[in-house]
Amino acid sequence: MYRIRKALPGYLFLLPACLMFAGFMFLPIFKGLQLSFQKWTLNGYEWVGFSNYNQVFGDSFFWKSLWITAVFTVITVVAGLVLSLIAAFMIDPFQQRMQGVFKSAFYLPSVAPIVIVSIIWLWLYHPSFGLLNYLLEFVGVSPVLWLGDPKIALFSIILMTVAVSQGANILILVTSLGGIPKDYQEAARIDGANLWQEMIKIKLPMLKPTLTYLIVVNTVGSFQVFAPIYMLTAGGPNRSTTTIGFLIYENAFKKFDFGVASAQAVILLVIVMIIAIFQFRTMSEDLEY
Amino acid sequence: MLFSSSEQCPKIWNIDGDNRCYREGEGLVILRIKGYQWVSFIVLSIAALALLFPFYWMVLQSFKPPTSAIQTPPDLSWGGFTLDNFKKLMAGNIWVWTSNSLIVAISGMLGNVILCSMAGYAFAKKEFPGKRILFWAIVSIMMTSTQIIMVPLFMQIRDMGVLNTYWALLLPILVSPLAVFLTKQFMQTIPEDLLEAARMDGCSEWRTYWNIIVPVSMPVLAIVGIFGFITQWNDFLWPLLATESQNMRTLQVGLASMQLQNVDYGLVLAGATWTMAPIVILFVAFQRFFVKGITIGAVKG
Repeated sequence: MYRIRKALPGYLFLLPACLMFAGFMFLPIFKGLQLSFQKWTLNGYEWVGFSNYNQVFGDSFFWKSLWITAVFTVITVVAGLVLSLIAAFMIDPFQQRMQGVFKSAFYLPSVAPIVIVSIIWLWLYHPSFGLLNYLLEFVGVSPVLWLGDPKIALFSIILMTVAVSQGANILILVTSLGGIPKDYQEAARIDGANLWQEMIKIKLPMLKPTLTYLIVVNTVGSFQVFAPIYMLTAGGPNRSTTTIGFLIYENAFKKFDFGVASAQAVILLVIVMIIAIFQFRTMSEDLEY
Repeated sequence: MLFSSSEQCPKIWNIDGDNRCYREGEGLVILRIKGYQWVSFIVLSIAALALLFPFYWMVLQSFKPPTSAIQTPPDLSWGGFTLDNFKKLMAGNIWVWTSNSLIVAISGMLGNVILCSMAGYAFAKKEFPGKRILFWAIVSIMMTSTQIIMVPLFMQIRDMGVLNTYWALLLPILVSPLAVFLTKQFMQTIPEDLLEAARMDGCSEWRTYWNIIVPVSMPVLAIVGIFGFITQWNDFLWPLLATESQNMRTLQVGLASMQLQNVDYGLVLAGATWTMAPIVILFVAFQRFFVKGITIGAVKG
């Protein structure tokens, strides 16, 4: 009895938040699992076993969208992190106030709502009055159908995503770089290391925990990309930008095939979980949460 | 003027992270850039300007005649400003959308600050069976998102019969795992003595939380609040699914529908400028908190 009384305040403080998490996060996950084995008929929901999954795995569009999602994720994450690293290495040597100026300049675009960013980029990419084609024309290159050409559309979305979403990465990397003790740097200098060696051999390895964290967070985020696709191309042209996230949306809210959409969501969840487990594995020694 | 070590720095001057000494207000730091840093400075400046230019262009065009946005070559000149786009915007649903967005964002902010800080306090300072597993269960939700649960969440809200109402918009956003995590991290650092003293004085559990923990935790609550507001203000997918009628739309969804139906770029850009303004104001006012909040979960120490 005493133990329960002692534990009670803790539970009471947790109760409201836990109810909300249970009701609107965990319950939907289980409901999604259930839905993925069901089909909507005139009599209500009916259990259909693995038929939704069979349909998904037999669907060439599903595999195509998985491939598109993988391409999108790998390029955005790798290119984004390489650029963020370069920016962070360039920002790091400046003094506090100058660092602040650059950090803000790079961070502001990434807090802008994705809808607004997409509206602006739709306009930049516009085939006839877009600024990008105007610039290309200026240097003598023929205009590009940025979002209309199936070969280019995905890369246009990647370009936008990489360009506008590095703010948090840069901020985190600059902070990590600032946290590296100055002794290492001085020791390296005394040993005659040049600037390049100092970066590659000393600072980069010390950033490993931060980089692992960023890789996983960015990958998990990119894998679920939706809004830019919805705004810029709606999955087209010729389905060349239909990522798995957009495919689920289409199946559920355009075709109203909730069973198949749920099966796809479960598969997406499994993929994301595998990435997350990979994170906990590789990061376990750095994790102090 | 640079000194070789911090000892030589006059007391009234400042010392930066590199132990360099400088006087308050001495130029805009640019003066103290040296050697190869000029290359970095120029490259970074060009990149930053290239990123910020589209936003500048958006604001500029929203104050110009509607056809100005689709002119080739692009019209970058100053002058000829007009409020026509905004007048047209105000004649539409923008006020309804704005008040919906405010309701959603403020609820998200309050929910995250109150409910999640209570949970964070329990995780940080209370002992009870099942604590670890509950904490990890909540933190593991960070890996999922609306993207994954949108279909069942939609059906659940529909089955509750509240689709296209404020309940649909608000119920799923009142808590966030990140807010629980951040408040827990911060509250762990509050000294036990402080709580002990409160208990000795006979403070009830709630009073200890409300009169001691909450005031001391203001820095992290500010971060959680600002992030909660911005995240909900910017959110697109859930408001898109949860609302059907024009008068339940949030700004983001309304703006997207405007973009998809409209060829009037001037109007759409005015809407975008309108929607972006609160973000910029918050960003300028609370910059410190942004930097802190972004790094607190990711960088040790």
